[in-house]
Amino acid sequence: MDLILITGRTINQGRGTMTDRLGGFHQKNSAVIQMNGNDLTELGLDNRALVRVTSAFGEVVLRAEEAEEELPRGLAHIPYGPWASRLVGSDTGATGMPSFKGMKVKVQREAAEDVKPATTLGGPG
Amino acid sequence: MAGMIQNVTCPFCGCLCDDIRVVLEEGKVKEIYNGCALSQSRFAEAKRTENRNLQPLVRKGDAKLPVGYDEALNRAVEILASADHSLLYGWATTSCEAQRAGVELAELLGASIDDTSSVCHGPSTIGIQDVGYVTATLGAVKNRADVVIYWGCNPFHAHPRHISRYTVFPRGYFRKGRKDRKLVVVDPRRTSSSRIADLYVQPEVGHDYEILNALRAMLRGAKIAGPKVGGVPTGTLQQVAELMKRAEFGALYFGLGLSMSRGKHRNVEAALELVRDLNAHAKWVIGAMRGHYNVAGFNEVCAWETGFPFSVDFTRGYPRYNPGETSAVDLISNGEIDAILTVASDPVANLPAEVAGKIRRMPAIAVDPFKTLTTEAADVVIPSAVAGIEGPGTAYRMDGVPIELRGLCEPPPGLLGDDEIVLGMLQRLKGMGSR
Repeated sequence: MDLILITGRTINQGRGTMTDRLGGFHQKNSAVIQMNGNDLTELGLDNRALVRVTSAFGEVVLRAEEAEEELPRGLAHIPYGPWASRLVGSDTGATGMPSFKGMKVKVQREAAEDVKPATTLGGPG
Repeated sequence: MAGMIQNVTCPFCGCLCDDIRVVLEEGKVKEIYNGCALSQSRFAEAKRTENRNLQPLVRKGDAKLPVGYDEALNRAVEILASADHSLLYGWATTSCEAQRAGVELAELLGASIDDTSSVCHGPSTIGIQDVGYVTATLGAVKNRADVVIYWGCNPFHAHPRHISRYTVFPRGYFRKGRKDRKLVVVDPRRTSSSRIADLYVQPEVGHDYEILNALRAMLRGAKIAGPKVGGVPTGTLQQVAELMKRAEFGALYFGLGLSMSRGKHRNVEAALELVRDLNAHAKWVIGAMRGHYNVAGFNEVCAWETGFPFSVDFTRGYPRYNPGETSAVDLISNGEIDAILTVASDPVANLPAEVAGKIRRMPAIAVDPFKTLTTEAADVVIPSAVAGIEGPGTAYRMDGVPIELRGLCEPPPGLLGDDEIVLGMLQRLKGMGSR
């Protein structure tokens, strides 16, 4: 399914960066893609199912969940952090700022066992 | 030391709430009152040790070995001084005193210096430079505002006490509280903040520029031909325009929904111009929802030291400022940087993956109280005290008001503050003779 992605702050992402940057709480709350419930249903996904999210710049395995901060259909949200950063390109359009919001992504069911911890994500390039 | 300490400043977000009450027990933070969930986490983090960097480390061969501060600082300066073009990055969660030392270090090295605002409200600063802005302190808004707009931000999650302490709920000199104020939230997501709004406006992502300019046109009496602008019904925009015009004192706060979306600084410019135009009808002010607690401080310090607020390049021996060229992401992705010093930030986690990969492969020094992906990747790790909890300093609130950070308790044994660490590098560099 093709979606428009925005990355952003959530309170538990913020708490995760304060308490547990390399650990489980941060991963549980930031290695997620939040979507409209109807989009989850159309993909045949249960809440917290694994998905592969692919942008023009990279891909990452995340857990998909219905957004508490309600999203319209077609829009997805990933909290800031190392998982979201894998999908963001480094072109800043001569502003210094990469496009962290409004990029096209593809979301597919994923057969992996779990998301990768931040310390094992590695990096392209 | 035991007892309650009053009026402590929270070193988490740009609200810099300075009414936190802290209970200390045996020199450690035991409980805090008045703090939001983020503040609780911030103070709790500092008292744990398993997530802390407690010993300087220097890479030797394949291993990072514990060393003393002296050896770590010597190695750091050696790396920076031998680089062709180093970058000094971060600075958002430390004191102005450390930031000031950082700017001097960059100048002496002939390096570039940038803070996290270049991937945050950097476009907002560019917008302000382009068109200027009408602003006010949070205190003025608390006392006077009867209409408050949050555009492209979700304060309940990112600045949890902004609404309750400064804008909508508090009793002010001229306002009794919530019932005296109207709240408008503009966000593509129906967020927690939007659920308490009197009027919720749901734009399509990336259409802020045209919506802001449609509002400007409406204020001038123009009729909008289409049924919608950027996904928002024209009638809803008319409602917003009327509410704005009828305000006695309006305040518009904007977040990264403007500065990170398509249009970036142009979106911010449109918001600044809208507020400027509104002052023909009513008193209106605008402010950016600055994220990290002293990211605004870096812009102040850098501006008074160099004339420019961020993304400053000293490679020619004088300060140059050209975001898009001299900003961290562009410098690193263009392959211009061959060594990096990070202070109080985690670019390996938060910058685009291509940039993070390049940081991982270059000689890197990380100064941070906590273990992060950046300290994991660094060749030299220099632990520091948590500014604002384990040491005093100065920070700038999001509205440009400087506020004192209190040192509440001692850091883990032997740890230095960020300012002492950066000054230690400066002393060593001066000892070597500047380049």
